[in-house]
Amino acid sequence: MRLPPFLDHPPLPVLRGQRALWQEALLSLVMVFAAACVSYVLMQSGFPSPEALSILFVLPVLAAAIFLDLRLALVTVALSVITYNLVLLPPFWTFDLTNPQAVAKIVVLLIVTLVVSALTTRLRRITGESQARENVLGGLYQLNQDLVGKTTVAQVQAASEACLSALTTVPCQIWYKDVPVDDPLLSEAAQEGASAGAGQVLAPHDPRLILPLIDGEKTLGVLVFTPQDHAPFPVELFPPSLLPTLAAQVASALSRAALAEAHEQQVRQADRERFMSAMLSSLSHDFKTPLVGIVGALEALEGRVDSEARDIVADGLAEALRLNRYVVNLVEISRLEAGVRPRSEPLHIRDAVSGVLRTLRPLIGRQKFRITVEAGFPLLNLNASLFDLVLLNLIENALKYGPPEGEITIDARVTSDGVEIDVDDEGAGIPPPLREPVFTKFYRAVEGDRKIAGTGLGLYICREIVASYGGRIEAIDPPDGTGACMRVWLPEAATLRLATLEEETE
Amino acid sequence: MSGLQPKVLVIEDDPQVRKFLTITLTSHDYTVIPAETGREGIRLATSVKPDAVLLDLGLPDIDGTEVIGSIRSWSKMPILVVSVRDQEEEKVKAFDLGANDYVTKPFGTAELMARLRASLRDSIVASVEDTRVEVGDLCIDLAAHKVSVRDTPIKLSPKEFALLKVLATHAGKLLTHKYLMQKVWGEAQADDNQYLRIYIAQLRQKLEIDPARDQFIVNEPGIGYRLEATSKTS
Repeated sequence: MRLPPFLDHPPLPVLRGQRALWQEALLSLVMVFAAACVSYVLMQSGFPSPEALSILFVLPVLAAAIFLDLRLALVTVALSVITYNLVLLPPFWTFDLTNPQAVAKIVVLLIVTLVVSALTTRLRRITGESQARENVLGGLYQLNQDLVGKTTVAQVQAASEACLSALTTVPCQIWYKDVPVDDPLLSEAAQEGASAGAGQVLAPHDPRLILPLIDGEKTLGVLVFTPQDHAPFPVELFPPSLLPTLAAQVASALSRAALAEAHEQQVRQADRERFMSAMLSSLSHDFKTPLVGIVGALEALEGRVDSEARDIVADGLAEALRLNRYVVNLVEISRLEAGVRPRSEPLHIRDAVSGVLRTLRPLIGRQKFRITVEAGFPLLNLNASLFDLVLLNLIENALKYGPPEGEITIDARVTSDGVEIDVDDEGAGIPPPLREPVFTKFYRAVEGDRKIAGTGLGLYICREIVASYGGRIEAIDPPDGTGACMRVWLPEAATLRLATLEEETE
Repeated sequence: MSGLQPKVLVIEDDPQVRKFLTITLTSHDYTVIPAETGREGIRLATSVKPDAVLLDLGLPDIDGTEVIGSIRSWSKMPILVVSVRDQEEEKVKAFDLGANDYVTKPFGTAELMARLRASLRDSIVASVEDTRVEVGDLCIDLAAHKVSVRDTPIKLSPKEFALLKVLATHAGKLLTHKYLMQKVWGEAQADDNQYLRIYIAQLRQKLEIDPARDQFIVNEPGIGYRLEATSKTS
């Protein structure tokens, strides 16, 4: 990667990161010694004003303040003052503070060196800060360059990781959305939206530097710098106080990419739904149209034939209507499997039950129905046709498998977290081991000599429909002890809060 | 009808269904004007001025709802929509555009005839108000405010009776949620039909003595309700 030109010069503070403290201390000692030597030689060779030589002792202090550890600058001040006293002030080679003139000279030198070191230190800090700011700005610029044209979250993630790793020379990793839960520090940082590790308030002794990725109010994930080989994070290069700027840039790029992805996904899904919808519509139309002809023809025949033939025609009609129900099931399954979710609307359970019984009227013989709806049962909020299909399949089964004069109970109740609807017959029931398999696609109840017509799709589609509203359907132990009992549970989300009725005056 | 056979314009692209509709309608003393496409239907509607239109929503040339819009721009003739089950949204759209009723494929002759009669009655003799309405086993005496099912008297609250009365005076006809709300609760409530659904449920609870055969009130999801005897198919 090519660095911007100002980063090509290794910035000042880098010079010292490579030396240990004792090496620097030695260096300062050498510098003071050199100053002492030079001034000694100059004085011996008859330098006219020995006082002026004191200026030489400021130089090591200046150099130390610029290049060495700041603590060493103060050490150098002390060393210089002591050496000055030893080398240049009579009596030579003794540290004598009895002469007031010498004390004055030492105090002046001490003040000068201290001021020089303070000024230099301040200059150095300002230079360092502006250098760091420049680094971050350069990084921001670089990051922007690298993010151009990255449209997916994965691309943004990879580009940001590469760019930040190269800039800071510390390997960087981005956790978007799924922050690993087994790393408590990462999840805490993500949750609090606060930076952590490497000298931060949160876990300051962790070697890693963790920055939250915040876009607006939301924390999208975390950015983790993991220094290798125990090297600390280069805080002088990229001070942690300025890094959030970079993190914010990454966060906004990520959220932009996520939005774009979601939008594309939506468009794709809408396209798919439109296509499936159109296809299923025409499929359904193609199946239904001949049925209109068949039902119509048989009905027309019904009125014109003798009673024996009328029975045959009636059978034909019943079969045609059954075929129609199969077609409805098939089309709805394909639609659900294609992810097409039809419009929801308020629906009263009594409306649904009554409508279904009306449809099944031709199949109802001497069976009795008992319908109970608990007071306060809410309106359902789902697609009426789909929910009708659930009830239709359940009640059709109850009619098919129950005794000809049995009672079918439909019981609707409110539960703590939704509503429950039981459809209970008085037939042979479903043995417990088969209560789950009956919901599988194409399952057919064939047991011994019992064989009842069906496609094996009825209960499967019931489960699919109920599941699409976040509900459950299961065959349960019949509360009355006989027959099969199917229980549909729907969550509160599939219901509407019931308005309180106005008081009616008789 | 002064001895004249009512004319029904049948707009349907499938030849078999068209043939079946023609035979059925003719045998019930209607004159059938068949049309294969939406455009032909619109043209015939203007030139022949039929008493009612039977319109398939899935047409080859233009959308069925377009035909409704076009006819409604100049006429109030009853329009019956023939739809398949998964055209719900189109069906609702058709009603917003002014369709009067619908049948779902595959439909029986009895059902179709009942719908057609109901919509023609409203458009031709809407003013005749019988004081007694009988719908299968349900008997409503509008003047005496009495309701009974198979001679068992049913006690209704005033609101319940008002609602049943609106349904009964248009027996067989599909009434939209909005229409029912306006008639029973007045203009202000017309858009919130929760009350309506709850009162209908209360009516059902009282009227449907035998749930297996007393389905007098028919729910038409997304559109409204109608009062109708259980059809006697098979």
